[in-house]
Amino acid sequence: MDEYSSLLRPRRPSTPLTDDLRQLVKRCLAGQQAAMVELVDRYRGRVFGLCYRMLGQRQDAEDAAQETFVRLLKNLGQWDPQRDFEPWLLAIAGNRCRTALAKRQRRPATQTITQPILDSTPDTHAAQNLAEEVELALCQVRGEYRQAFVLFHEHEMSYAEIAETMSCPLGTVKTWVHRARRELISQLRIRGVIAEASYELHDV
Amino acid sequence: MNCTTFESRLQSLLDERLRPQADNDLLMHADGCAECSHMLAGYELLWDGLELAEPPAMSADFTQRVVGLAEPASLPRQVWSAPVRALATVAALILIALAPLTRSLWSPSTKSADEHPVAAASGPLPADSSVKPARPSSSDAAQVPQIEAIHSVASDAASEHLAQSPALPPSTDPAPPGNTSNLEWLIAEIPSRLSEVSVENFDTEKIPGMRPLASSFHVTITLLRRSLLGGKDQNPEKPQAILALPATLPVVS
Repeated sequence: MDEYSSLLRPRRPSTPLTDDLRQLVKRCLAGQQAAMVELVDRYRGRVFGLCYRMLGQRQDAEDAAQETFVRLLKNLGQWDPQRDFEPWLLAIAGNRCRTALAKRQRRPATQTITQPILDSTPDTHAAQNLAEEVELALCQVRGEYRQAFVLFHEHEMSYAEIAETMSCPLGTVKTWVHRARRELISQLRIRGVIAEASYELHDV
Repeated sequence: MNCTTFESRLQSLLDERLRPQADNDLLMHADGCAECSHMLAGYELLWDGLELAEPPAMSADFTQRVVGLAEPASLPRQVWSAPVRALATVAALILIALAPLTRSLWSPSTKSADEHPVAAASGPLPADSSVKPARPSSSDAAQVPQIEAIHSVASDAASEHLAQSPALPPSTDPAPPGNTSNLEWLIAEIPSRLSEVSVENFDTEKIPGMRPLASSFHVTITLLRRSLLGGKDQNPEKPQAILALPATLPVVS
């Protein structure tokens, strides 16, 4: 696997609104608990993934995901079947996460370590460390930038879908994603993750 | 290519989800520029880290917890709004119908005689009815004699009117069935009562002040006839708001 394979993620197949989803929503509106369970199970992974990237902590992410689905089930009748379902669902999740972030800022928070910790022990958990460093760097990025970045690179949504989800212009979303990338690179540099790394040109 | 265009080009490639490897100019510049080389390496580490940073597992009972917290999804409003509107309309009509016939529900201590404009319209009520004639407010001591006089005259005029109406039922009505409430009896009796009451010859000569009351009464009976009996107004030429006043009464502009 060459070094660029990680830059290219298989694009998630587009999921247009299907009759199956329409029927599922209809059954939820009729009060069928089995349908609600099916709907939650279908999207819980993506919702939790966004919430975890936004909040950085498992419990907070699960709380936000729970609130998201409870609101979804209570307001399912307001969904316009002409609109795509997932952007609407992720918009609710994003709002819940931003609310949680605002609450977190208002209360005394634990200090986030921004200085690199020198460790002379052999690095046997490089991958785990890298993952943790990326997560930490992501937590330092501004909320809107972070959400746009996660929706684009992890949920593989288009800029248009993200604009619909975040209720902002497409150009703004593009700017936010670019700025998020720059901030992440900057954070990784500050923490020494991108210290002396250099690119080596390989034969194409 | 310079460093500014390098970054811009790299961002565009990432937006298109394309591999930078496909862009030879980008690679050539990175090979000769340490800063841009670091940038390219940084993005590579970033994507590797994101792939490795998988979210932790969720609680096993997450879905059940969510469904338990959520109330039944609301039905679309248009499913139940029409019956609700119909019920509200029927309830409003019943209230209008009951207004002149449930004088007994009004508190006699707070209502004076002239606040019962349709007192004359109520036919004889069941024997166990708690209807009592309205009494003037005790707080209005200076006007009590005058109000009582008006009330007594109004009652006399109403009784005389009812006596003159040939279609009125006998003064004593059968009591409601033992297991039927007064309210239910009233609701059942309304249509038959309405068809019997005639307001055309309400004599207001004795009490000129009764004309507004007679007007209100006429309007109410007309509305009730239209809504409950399903029939048209007996004076179709006259607008609903304009009453058929006796010729002896002056028309108030």
